[in-house]
Amino acid sequence: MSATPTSVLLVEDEPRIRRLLQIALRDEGYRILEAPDGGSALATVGDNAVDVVVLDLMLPDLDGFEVCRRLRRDSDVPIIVASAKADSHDIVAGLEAGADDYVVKPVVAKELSARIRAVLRRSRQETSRSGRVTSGAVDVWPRQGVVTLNGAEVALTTTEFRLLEQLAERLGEVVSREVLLERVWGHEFVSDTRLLDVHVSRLRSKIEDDPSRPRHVVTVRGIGYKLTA
Amino acid sequence: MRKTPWGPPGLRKRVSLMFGLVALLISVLVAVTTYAVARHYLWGQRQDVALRQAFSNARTVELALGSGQPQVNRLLVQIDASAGQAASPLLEWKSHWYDRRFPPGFESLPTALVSMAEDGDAGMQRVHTRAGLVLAVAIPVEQGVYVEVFSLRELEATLSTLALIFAFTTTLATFVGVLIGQWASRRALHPLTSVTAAALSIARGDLGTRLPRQADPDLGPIADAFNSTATELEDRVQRDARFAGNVSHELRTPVTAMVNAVDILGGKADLLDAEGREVLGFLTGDVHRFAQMVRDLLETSRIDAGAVEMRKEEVPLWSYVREVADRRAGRPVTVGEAENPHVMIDPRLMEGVVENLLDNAERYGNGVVRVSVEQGDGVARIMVDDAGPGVPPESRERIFERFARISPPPSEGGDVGGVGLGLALVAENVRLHGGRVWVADSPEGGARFVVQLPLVVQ
Repeated sequence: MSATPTSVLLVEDEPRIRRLLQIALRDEGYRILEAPDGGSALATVGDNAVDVVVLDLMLPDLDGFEVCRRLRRDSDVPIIVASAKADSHDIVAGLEAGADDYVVKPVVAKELSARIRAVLRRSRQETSRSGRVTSGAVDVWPRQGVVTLNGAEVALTTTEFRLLEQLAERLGEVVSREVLLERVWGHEFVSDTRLLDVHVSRLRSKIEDDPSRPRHVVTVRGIGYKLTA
Repeated sequence: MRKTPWGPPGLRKRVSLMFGLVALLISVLVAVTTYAVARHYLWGQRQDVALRQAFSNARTVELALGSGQPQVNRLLVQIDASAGQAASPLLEWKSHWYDRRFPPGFESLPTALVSMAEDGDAGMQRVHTRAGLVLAVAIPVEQGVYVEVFSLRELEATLSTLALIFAFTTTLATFVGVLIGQWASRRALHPLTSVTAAALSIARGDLGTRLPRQADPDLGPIADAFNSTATELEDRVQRDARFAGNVSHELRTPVTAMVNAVDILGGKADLLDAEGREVLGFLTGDVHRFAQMVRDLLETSRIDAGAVEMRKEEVPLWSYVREVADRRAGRPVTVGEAENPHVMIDPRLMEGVVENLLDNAERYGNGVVRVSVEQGDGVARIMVDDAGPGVPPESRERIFERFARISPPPSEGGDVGGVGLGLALVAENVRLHGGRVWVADSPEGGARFVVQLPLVVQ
């Protein structure tokens, strides 16, 4: 671990779970901030340097989806939803609210830790590509972490950027879902294609003229996605 | 609605046919009666005219014969000319026949009719001759018989035209009857069509579907009964969903606490003595098994509640299985690439299937030997072979039941073991994909689990 430990904000209303995850994640080497509800979670992110937010969806005050949306509006801090809600529509709603990853309880601290490392790694990872990658009106500068559409910079979250970066590294080639899930989310536990689908559609909504008929990030049915050269 | 080409006819068809049958019966009855009456009337008319004309001509003949030396042939020519084309006169006088006006000749007349007239009685008879059907009227005259033959061709033509018209109108009436039957049954059954549509809509998952209130006293109760059933169903499903959601939360939260607690303790195991560590080992294993069981149980209940949302896509099966299986096994276990059949699957659900089969092979089958994919007649198969003792034939069905308890082979000894929910989940998920799963013997002696899925129709 580096000299300054990664700080993780645990947003969880159940005190025992909060305490247990705090102990377990602290043992994994993280600095843990705690918030028992949505209001204090937003306040903590506003006041402190938070590297990752682990967010429960069922909170006493604010709806977890709402907390997610507000956090995402103000910052691009990676958000991992850890929820007992396992229904497909909850997972998709959580991701659409801006979560970078979604894990269904019961979750063990080791898995959570692996996911935290994954969302952090991607914002710090060195890329093999230097210079510019161009797909039509979209330009990607992997090293600088910049994406432009018709010359104007596009604000992407780190996850969206990592996704585009993976596609850009193999410009014009199909990248399989599994490779994307592994490289972007570091998933060795489960691969959830909903995670990928929602992020691809969010990415498209930012860089495609018509997201329903994408020209840059195209679906290759049954295999994965590719960035057109 | 589904068509059954060889089954019993549907209600609408039966109503239409009944209408057609009734129309046919009525129109046949009307046509036959009308025809009989018309025929009787026309016949009577023809006979009256023929008799009157024959008697009048007979009197003329008698007068002429009484006047000394008659010119018989000229007389007949005169009568023939006045009688018109439809009638021909014949005369037997002093045992000699004057029959040149009637080409078939006197021989074609019935002898009974002629001899009766010779004995003094006038008679009338229908006769088939070379010239067609005729009416012969025989009238006794002085020293002979006067016969006048009337052609019935015109009458026959009229009657056959009439019959044709009746046949045509009968057919038309039957046809119209069927059409009316169709229209009427469609109108009558229309409310049932909307009931069917509503039931299908509920079956598709739109539980809020209701039928509009019906004013019709016959249909009102059906609609009301349908609506109250639908309301009960909706309440029930919502209650179940709430219950499942609550149970899910209530179970997941303490299980999360338990698994993290034992993991934390595991990190501090060196603080315990040997017995403490042993007990902690048991606890950790059981807690993790319990957590997995809770996950599986909740997944099973989601399938039972129909809450699983399928996101199917077309996937090349071998490539997909290799990705999933090799990653899960942590080494290459997928063999062969001769066949890469395309199937429609939800990749997330099918991943659970493959992983559960690998876990099963790991836990009960001494590890997975190989995973392969083959293509059959309209189907694709995933086969997972393990190195275990195999599954005894009597357990091969039961092993896919929830919490099935399977006796190990006698050679292995040991207790009856529970296989939990993993294989039951496999079976449920495969069923959701329209496929099936079974267990057989692997060629190398272990168990072979086979998942069969329908191929994508090209």
